[in-house]
Amino acid sequence: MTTALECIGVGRNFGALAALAEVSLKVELGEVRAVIGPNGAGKSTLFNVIAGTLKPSGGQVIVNNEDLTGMRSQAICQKGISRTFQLSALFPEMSAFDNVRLAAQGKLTGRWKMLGGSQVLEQASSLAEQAMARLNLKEIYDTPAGTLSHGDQRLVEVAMALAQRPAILMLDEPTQGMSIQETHRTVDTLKAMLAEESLTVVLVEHDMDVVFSLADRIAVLHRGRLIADGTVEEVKADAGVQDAYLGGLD
Amino acid sequence: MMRSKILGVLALVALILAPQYLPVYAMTLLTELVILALFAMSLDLMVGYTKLVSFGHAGAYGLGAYVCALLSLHTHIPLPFVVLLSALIVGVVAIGIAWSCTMATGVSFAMLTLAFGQLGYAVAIKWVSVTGGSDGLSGIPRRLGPFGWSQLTTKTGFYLFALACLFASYFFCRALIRAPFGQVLRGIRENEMKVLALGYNTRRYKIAVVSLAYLFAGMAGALYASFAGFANPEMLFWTVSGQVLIMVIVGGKGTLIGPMLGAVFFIMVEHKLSELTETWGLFMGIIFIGFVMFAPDGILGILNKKLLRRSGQQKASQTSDPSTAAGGHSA
Repeated sequence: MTTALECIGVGRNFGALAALAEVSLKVELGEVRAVIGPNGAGKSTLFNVIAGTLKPSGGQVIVNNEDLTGMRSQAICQKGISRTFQLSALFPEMSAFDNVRLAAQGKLTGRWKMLGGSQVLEQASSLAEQAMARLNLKEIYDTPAGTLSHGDQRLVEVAMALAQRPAILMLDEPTQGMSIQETHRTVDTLKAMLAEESLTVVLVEHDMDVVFSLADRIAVLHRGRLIADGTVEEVKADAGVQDAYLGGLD
Repeated sequence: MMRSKILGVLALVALILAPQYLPVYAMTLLTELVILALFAMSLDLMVGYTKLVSFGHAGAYGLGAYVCALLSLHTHIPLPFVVLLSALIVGVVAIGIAWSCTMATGVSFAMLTLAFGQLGYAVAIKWVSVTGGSDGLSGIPRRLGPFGWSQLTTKTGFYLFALACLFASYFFCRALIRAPFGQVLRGIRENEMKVLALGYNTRRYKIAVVSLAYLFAGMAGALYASFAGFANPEMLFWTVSGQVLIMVIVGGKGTLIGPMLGAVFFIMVEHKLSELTETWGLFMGIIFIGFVMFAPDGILGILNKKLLRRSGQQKASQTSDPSTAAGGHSA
C-alpha cells in the first residue's frame, strides 16, 4: 500500500488551547478515511490544517511524498487536494453547472486566459458534465445555485471538488443539516460515486450511520488527541471510543 | 437576445451617422458623452464584475489626461498613438496601485483607492513645474498623423476616433468577461474564499482587472484632454470618482452597456437640472437614492424587464396551452 496523505505530530493551538495535539495519521491510497469525534474534538481543525485554511502550530502534512505543511489553500488545491466546506460555499447567482465548471477550470493550465480560451472552457465543461453525471445532478444544470435545496447544494459542492480530479477528496460533514431522506440520498449517491472513482477520501462527519456506510477506516479524535485508528469493527469495539463518544450507540 | 443585437447595431449606425445630421454644439456634447461612457464602462469591470468598489477612479482618468497632455505638448506623436500610449502608461502605473490596494478587501480597499486618487490630486496641485498647478495644462494640441492624416484632428474626425475607442474597448471587455478570466471574476464577486479554495490565486486576478479598468479610464482621460484641450486637477478630484460610480450604478452594474447609458443619463439630467436650479446636486442625489431603492438593476435592468415582458406577452399569445407557458421552470 502506498500512503497518499500522512500527518506527523500535527498540532494547532488557539491561544492557550491546544485544539489539536500531536496527531499522527496515515491515509492509504484509495481508502475512505473518516475522522470522527465529539464536538470540539479537533476534527475540523485537523481538516482545515490539511486543506491549508489553518496553519499548524507544529508537525508536518505530507501528500504523495511532498511536504505541504503551512502552504496556502490555493497552493494545496493545486497539489491535488480538493475540499468541501461544512457550510455550503457556492456561487449563489451562478448556475449549478457554472459553479462546477469554474471549479474544473481551476486545475487547467489555461485558467488565466483573458481573451479567447474557448477550448479551456470546453475542457472545463466536459469535466463538469462528468462530475455532475456521477452525482446525478443532470436535472439542475441551469438552476442558480442559491435557489437549490440544501441537499443539492451539498452535492454540487462535492461535484465541484470531484471535477478538479483531486488526488485526495476532503468532505467536511457532507450531510450536515440534511433531512433523513436527503441524508439517505446523499449517502447512496456518494457510495455509488466512490465505487466508480476509487478516490482517496478524508471524511469528517457527525452522523455515525453515514460514517459506517462510507468509511473503510476510522480515526477518532478526542480533545485534540487521536485515541483510536482502525477499521470500522475495531473502532466500534474499542473501549476508549465507547467511553468518549459511542456511549450512546447500541 | 436577437432583439438586443439589432438594437446595438442600430445604435452604432446612428452614432456613426450622427455628425451628418446634428448641429455643432450637439456634437460637442455627444463627444463628451462617448468619452464618459468609456470612463463609466471601465469602472464596471471592477464594480460590476468583481465587486471591487473604487472611490478613486478619477485618479486613473486624470492621470490619463495629464500623460496625454504632456506627451502632446512635448512630443510630436500622432493623436491615436498618444491616446493609446497614455492608456498603457496608466495601466502599468495601476499595477503598483492595484498591488497595494488589493492587500485590503471591502471598505478598506475602497478607502485605499480613494487615497491614491487624492494623492494624484495633491501631486497635480503641488508639482507646478510639470502639471501647471491648480491651473492645469492648457493649449493641448491634437497632433497630425499617422501618415500626415489630418482627419482625426477635426471635430467630426475626433468624435469618430473617440467612438472607435469606445467600441474597441467594449468588445475587448466583452471578450474578457466571456473568457476563462471573466468566469473567475464572477466567482470572486460572489464568493472569494471559495475561489481561493478552488486553487485560484485571486489577488492576481484582482490586480489584473484593476489595471485593465484603470487602463481604459486612462484612455478616457487622454481622449478628454485631447477633446477639451486642457487637463486640470479637478479631473482627479474625488467627486469625479463619486459621479462615475453613480453612472455605473444608475445605468446597471455588471452589464458594460448599462454604465454607458448611466453616463448619458447623468450628463443629460445634469444639463437639464442645472438650467433650472443651482442646487441640481440635491435632485441628482434624490434620483440616485431612488434608483438604489427601487431599481437596483439600473436603467438597463428596467429596459430589459420591459423587453422581456413584451416578448413574454407575444409568446403567451402564440400558445394557448397554459402548461407550456409555465413549463420553462419546472424542468
